[in-house]
Amino acid sequence: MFGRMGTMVYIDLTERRVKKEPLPNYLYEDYLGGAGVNARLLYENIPPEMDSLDPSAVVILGVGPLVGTIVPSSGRIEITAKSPVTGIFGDSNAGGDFGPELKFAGYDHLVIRGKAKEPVYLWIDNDQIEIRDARPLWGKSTWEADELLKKIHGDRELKTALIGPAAENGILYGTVIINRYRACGKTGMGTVFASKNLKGIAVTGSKDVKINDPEASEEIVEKMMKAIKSHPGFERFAAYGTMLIQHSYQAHGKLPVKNRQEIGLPEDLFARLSTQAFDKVKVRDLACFNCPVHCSSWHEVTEGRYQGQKGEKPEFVAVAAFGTNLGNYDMNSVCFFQNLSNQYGIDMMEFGNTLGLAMEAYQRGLLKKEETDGIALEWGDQDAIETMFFKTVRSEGSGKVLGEGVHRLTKRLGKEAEGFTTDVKGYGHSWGDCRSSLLWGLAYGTASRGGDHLKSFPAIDESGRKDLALQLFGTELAANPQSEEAKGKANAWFENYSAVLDSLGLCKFAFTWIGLMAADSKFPDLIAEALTAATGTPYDGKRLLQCGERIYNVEKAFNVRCGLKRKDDYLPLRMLDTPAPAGPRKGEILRPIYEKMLNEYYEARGWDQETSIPTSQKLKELGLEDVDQDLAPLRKPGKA
Amino acid sequence: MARNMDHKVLSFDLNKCTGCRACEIRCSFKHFRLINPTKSRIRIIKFEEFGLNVPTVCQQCTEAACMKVCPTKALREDLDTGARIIDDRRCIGCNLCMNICPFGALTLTSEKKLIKCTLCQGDPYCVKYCETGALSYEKVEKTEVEKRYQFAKKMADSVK
Repeated sequence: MFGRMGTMVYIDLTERRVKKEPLPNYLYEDYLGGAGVNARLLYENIPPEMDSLDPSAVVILGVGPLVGTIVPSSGRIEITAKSPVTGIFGDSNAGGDFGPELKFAGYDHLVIRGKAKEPVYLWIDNDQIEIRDARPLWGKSTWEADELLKKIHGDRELKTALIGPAAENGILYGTVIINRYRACGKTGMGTVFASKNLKGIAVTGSKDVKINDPEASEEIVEKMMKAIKSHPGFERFAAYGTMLIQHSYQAHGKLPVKNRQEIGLPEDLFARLSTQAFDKVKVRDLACFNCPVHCSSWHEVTEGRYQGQKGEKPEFVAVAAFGTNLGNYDMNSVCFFQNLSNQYGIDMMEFGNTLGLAMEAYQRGLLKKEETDGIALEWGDQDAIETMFFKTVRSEGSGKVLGEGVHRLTKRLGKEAEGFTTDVKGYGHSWGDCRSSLLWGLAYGTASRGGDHLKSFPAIDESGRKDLALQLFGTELAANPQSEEAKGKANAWFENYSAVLDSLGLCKFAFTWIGLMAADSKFPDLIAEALTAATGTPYDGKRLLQCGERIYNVEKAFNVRCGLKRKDDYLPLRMLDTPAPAGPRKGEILRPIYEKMLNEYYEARGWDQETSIPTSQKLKELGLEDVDQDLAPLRKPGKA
Repeated sequence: MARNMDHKVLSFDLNKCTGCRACEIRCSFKHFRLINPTKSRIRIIKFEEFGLNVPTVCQQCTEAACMKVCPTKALREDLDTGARIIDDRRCIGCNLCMNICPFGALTLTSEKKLIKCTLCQGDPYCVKYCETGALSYEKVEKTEVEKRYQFAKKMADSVK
C-alpha cells in the first residue's frame, strides 16, 4: 500500500484484546485519513445517547496518508472522541514526531475502547502491540513519564503520547501531550484517556512509508516548498512562530484583555509580551517532524521569579491564556505556565478562558472569597494565578470548579455571567476578538468542536489576498475583515480545506497561514497532486475539497444527533450585543451582521436555515445516504 | 595516513539544528525511494529534555576503523570524495564494522542490509534539504570558520 500503511487496530482495554484489520477502501477514499476517517469512525461507533466517559465509548487516533512522507510539515496526529467538556463532537490535533512514528510502526488508525482495571499504557513496537502496566507512570507528569518510558524500554528514540496528572485528577479538559511539548489540547481528549485508565502510548517503528510515484512526489514537494518559502513573512514566521499573532491582534483591535472587557494594550504593557520580550528568553529554533517553518523555539528564563524555566515554545495561545486575558503582562510567567500546562496536561486556552471568567465574576462581586478558598482573584496577580492553576490540575477546592471549564462555571454563576462568558457549544471560544474580525467570529460560532479557530482557520482576511478572495469567493471583499460580504461562503470553504489538511496530516500554519496565502501557491490542487503521487489514487483539488465537505458534514451530523441546533452556532452575548470597546469597529454591535453571515453560511453549506440540519439533498450529494436516514427523524415535518 | 585536504566533509552546527529530521527523510528517500528514518545514514539524536538535536553520521575517518577491521576489504575509499563505501558484492555481513565504529554510523536495515553515508557522490542530499544550514558540506579547513565568526560576533555584540 502506498502513502497509507493499510492497517487499523482495534484495542479493547476491558477485554485486553488487540485486533488488527485492513483499512476499508470506502474510509480512505471518501474520508482521506487522519481527522476524516476518525470522524466517520466516531459517528459509526458512538450512539448519540452514549456518555463521553462511558467505558464503551471509543477514542480514535489517526494519521493521514501524507504523514511521514517528504511533503513538508506533514507530521500531524489527530485524536477524536466525544468530548467530556461539551458532550458533542471532539477532536484535537498536534505535531511532533509521534504521528510519523505510528506510521513507521505500521498503522494508520487506533480505535481504543473499554476501561482497564488498573492504569495501563500501550507499547507499540512494529507488529507487537502490548497493553502494559502503567501504575509506575500514573501521577507522573508527562515529562517524567516520557523519561521513564525511555528508560523502561531502553529506547531513547521512542515517541510518546501521554496524559498528565490533571486528566487523572478529573479535570475535564485534560490534554494528550506528544513528546513533552506538543499538545492535542482541545476538547478533553486526555480526560477520555484517563477515563479508560490509559496513561498513553509509546511507539517505535522501522517500517517503510512507500510512495507510489517518488519522482512526481519530489517535483510537487519542490513546488510546495517554493510556495511556502515565497511568502514575504516566511523569515519572521520561522523566527517567531505564533508569537507574531499578538502583534497582529494588537494592531488590528483583536487582542483580548481581562476576559475581553478590553481590547489591546498600551504599548508599554504590550512590550512585555512582544517578540522583543520573547527574544530575551529564546535560545534556538526548533521544529516538528519534517517542517521547514520551525515555528517552535527553545526558551530559557534567566532572571526574576521564573528564573530557570526551560522548555519549548511558548505559543501565542499561552500569551493570551496566562497573559493578556488575565491581565498578567510578563513573558517569563507565560513560559512558566506553558511548561506547567504541558507537564500537567491541561488545555491552556480553556483554563485561561475559565479563570478569566472567574476573575471577571470576582471583579463584579459575583464570586466571593468564600467560594475561591480565600484567594482574591485580582487581575494580573501571579500568586493567585499560580495557586488557582495548581488547585485546578489537582482538582482541589475551587480548582475543581475551574477544571470543569467555561460552560459549567457560567451555569454556576448564573444569568449575569451569560453576559461575559466565552461559551460556544460548551467550550470557551478562541482569542481573537470577533467584533473586529467578522470572518473569524463566524468561524468560532460554527466550529464543530465548539468556539474554535482551527476548524476553519480562515486566514484570508488577515492576508490581504484580494485576488485569492476574488478567485475563490467571487469578491475581493471576502478578504476584508470589516465587510460581511461572502463570509459565509468563505467560512464553509475554509472549514472544508482545514478538514482536508487535518485528514492528510498537514499543518495549517504551513499550509494555510503561509502556504495558501503565498502568491501563486496553487493550493489545494498541489496538495491533491501530492496525495495522488503518494497513494496512486487520482485526486484533484475539487475532489479533495468535497472530501473535506463530507467530513465536516459528518461532524455536523454527529452534533445534530446530540441535539444541536441553529441557536448553538451563535457567539456569546458579549461578542454579539456589547459594542466593541476598541478596534476598527469600535462602538458597533455584531449581532445583525452575524445573523446575515450565518444565513449565508447555511446557504453555502446546504443546511436548513431554521434548524441548521444538513438537507437531504446535500447529504445525498456527498454520498451520505445513511447519515441522511439517521437525521430524517430529527428534521421538522415537511422539511427535506 | 593523511587526510586529502581537497575532500569536503559533512559538518554541523548544533545551534542551528531544529530537529526536523528532513535529512533522515531525504536520505532514505534518495537511496531507497521511500521514507524510513531507520534506513537513513544520518540520524538526529533528539535531546528533548534540553532542546538540543545532534546529527550523527559517518565522519569518513582518515584512520577508518571500519576499513581496517573488514575481513573481505569490502570497504573502500571513493577517491573523488574520500567517502568510505561498502562494496555489497564483497560484504559478508559479519557486522564487524558496525561493532567497531565509535560513532554508530553504520546501520543494519530491517532487511539486514548494511548501509553507511556515501556523501551522495559529492552532492549530499541531507545538506541540500537542511532548511537552516545546520548541515554543511565543505572543505575540512573551512568547517569552523563560520562558527568562529558567529562566536566572535556574539562577543563583539556584547561589548559594542
